[in-house]
Amino acid sequence: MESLGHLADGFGTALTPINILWVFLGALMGTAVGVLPGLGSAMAVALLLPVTFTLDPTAAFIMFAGVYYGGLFGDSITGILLNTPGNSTAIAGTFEGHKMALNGRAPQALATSAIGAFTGGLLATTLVALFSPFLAEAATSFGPAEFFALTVVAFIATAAIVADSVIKGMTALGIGLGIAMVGIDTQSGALRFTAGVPELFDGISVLVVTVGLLALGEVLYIASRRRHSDNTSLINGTGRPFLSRAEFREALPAWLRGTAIGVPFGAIPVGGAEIPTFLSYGVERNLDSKQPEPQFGKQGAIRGVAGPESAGNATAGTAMGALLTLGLPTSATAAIMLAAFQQYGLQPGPLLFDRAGDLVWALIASLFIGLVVLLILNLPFAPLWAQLLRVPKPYLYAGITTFAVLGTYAAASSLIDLALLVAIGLLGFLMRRHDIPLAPVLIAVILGPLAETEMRRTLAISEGSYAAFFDGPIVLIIYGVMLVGIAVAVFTRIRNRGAAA
Amino acid sequence: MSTQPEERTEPEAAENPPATGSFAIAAVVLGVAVYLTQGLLTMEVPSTADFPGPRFFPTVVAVLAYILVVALIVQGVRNRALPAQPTRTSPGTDWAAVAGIVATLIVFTLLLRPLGWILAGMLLFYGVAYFLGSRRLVFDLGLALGVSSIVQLVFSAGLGLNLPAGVLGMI
Repeated sequence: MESLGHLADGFGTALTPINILWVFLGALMGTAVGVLPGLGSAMAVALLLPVTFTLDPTAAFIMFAGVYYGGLFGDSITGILLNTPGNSTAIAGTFEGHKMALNGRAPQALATSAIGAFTGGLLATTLVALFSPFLAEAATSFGPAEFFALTVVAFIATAAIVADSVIKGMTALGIGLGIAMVGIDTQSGALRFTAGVPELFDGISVLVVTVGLLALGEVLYIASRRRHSDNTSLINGTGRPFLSRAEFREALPAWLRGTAIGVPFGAIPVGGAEIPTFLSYGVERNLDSKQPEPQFGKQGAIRGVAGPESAGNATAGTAMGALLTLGLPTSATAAIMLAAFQQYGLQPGPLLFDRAGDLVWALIASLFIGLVVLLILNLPFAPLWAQLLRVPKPYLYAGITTFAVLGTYAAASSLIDLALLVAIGLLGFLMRRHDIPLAPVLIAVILGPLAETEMRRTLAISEGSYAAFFDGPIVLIIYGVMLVGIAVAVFTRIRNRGAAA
Repeated sequence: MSTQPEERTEPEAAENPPATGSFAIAAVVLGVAVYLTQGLLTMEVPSTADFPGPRFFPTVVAVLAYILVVALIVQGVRNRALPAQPTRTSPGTDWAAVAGIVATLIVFTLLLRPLGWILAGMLLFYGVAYFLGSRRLVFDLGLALGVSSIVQLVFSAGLGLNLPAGVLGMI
C-alpha cells in the first residue's frame, strides 16, 4: 500500500537521534503537565507551544506527538492515586481505578491504565495511518456547505449534547463566538470589534484563550477555595508494576472493546473523549453485572480501568486523523494542535498531505514512537510521576502561573496579550464557579472563523439563497447524524430524569 | 450527555458551589452582546463588501447572546425560587486570594518591560505563592528568583525566546 511507503519515510525522518530526543522530551513534559490536577493534554500542548517556537516545523511536530499522548497518560495517574482526575476524560477510569488503589492494587491499576492508553492509541493511530489519505481525498470534494455543516455539528454537539445543561453549553458557545469575532474580517477587510487597538487586528489568539481559561482560571479557582479542607491523600503506588497473566487476560477484552468504542468518537466533533470513556465504563459495568460474581464497585475492577482508558486514547488517535485530513478539530487538544499548525503557516485539511506530506508522515510516525516511549516512561515509573503532586500547592500553582504568562508573552511579545490573559483567566474562574463547561468556548474560538467563512461562501455561491445550506447528500447525512445525536441525548436525559424522580 | 450521571458527580461531589444563580454569567454574556452591538453599529463596512457582509455573522452571534441572557436570568430566578437546598457548611470563597493574584498579574504586566523578566517573574511567582498561603518570606523569594532565572536561562539564552531584560540588562 502507498501509505505504508509514506509511513516508512516518516519513520525515517522521525528515527534520527535528535528527533527521538524531541519525542522523548515531549512525552516527558506532556506527562508532567497531565499529572497536574486540572491540567490535561490540551493544556500540555498550549503551555509547551512556545517551547517549540524556535524549532523547525518537523522537530516541533515530532515533539507535539509526544506531548499529545503524554497528557493523556498523565491525567489518569492522578485519578487513580488521588481520586482527582487530571482531566474530565480521566473521570470514568477513576471510579474503579481508585478503588483498586485503595485495595493495595495501585501498581496494577496504573499498569492497566498505561497499557490501555497504549493499546487504544496504537490501534487508532494505525487506522489513521492507513486511511487518512483516502479520507483526505474524499474530503477534497467537500464544498463550503459541507464544511459549514461540520462546524455546526461541532458547535451543537459540544454545547448542547455533551454539556449537562443546554443553556450552560450554549452560553459557553456564545462567549467563544464573541471572542472569535474580534479582528479584521478577512473577506471584506472591515475592522471588527477591535476598539481601535492595533494588537487586536489579528484577533484574540487561541493560545491566550486556552491558557487563560484552562491554566489561569484553574489557579484562581484553586485560590478561591483555599480554605476548603483538602482531604485527598496520595496513595503510595510502588510495588510490582506488572500484570499477572490472569490479570492481563482479564483486561485484554476490555482494552479492545474500549478501543472500538473510542475510535469512531475521534472522527466526529463532540468535544473530546468524555462520551466514549463513560460509554466504555458503562459497557464494562453492564457486562460485569451479568457475571456470577460482579466486581464493579467493590475491590475495584480491572476492566473498569482498562475500557475507559483505551477508549480515551483511541479517541485522541482518530481525532488527530480528523484534524489532519479535514482540518477539523474534534477536541480541545486537537484545537490547540490546529493553532500550532497555523503558527507554522500550515493549514490542516485535505491538501495538507500534498503540501506538507513529509511533515505529516513524520508526525504520524512520531505518534507511534511517542506511544512506545510513553509506555516505557509510565509502566515502571508511574508512581514516580505522582511524586510531582507532593510539591506544595502554592509553589505548584505559582509555577503554573509563571509558565502561563511566559507562554503567552513569548508568543507575540505583546502586553495586550497579557492583559487579555488576565481577563480571560477571570472569565475561566467565573465559568468554573458556575459550572459552565469550558470546551465549547475553545471549539467556538477555533471553529468560529471557519464557520463564518464557509457560511458566507455558501451564501455567496448561491447568491443569497439559504436553501444552499441543505443542498447535496453529504450535507444531509451530516445534519442527519446530528439530529440522531440530539434525539439520543434527549432520550437519555428524559430516561435519567424519570429514573431520578 | 452522560449515560451515568449519578456516577459522574461522584469524584467531584463536594466541589460544586451552592447554586447562587447564574446572574454573574448573565452579566458576562450581556457584556459580550452589548460590545458586539456597539461594534456592529459603529463598524465601517467597505463599499466593496457583498451580501453576506462582515456584519452578518456577528449579528447572529449577538442575537444568540441576547437570547442567552434572557434564558440565564430566567434560570437564575427559577433557581432562587426553589426551596433552599440544605447547604453544606463550607468555608466560602476566598475572594482576597483571587483579588490578590489578579492584582499580582496586573502589576507583573505593568512592570515586565521596565524591570525585566527575572525581577518581574520573581515578583509574580512570589505573589501567587503568597496569596495561595505560603508565608516563608526568604525561602519563597529565593525560590521565586531561582524559577525566574532558570526560565530566563533556558528559554531566552537556550531556546532564543525574546524576554525583556529590563533594568538588569543595563548593568
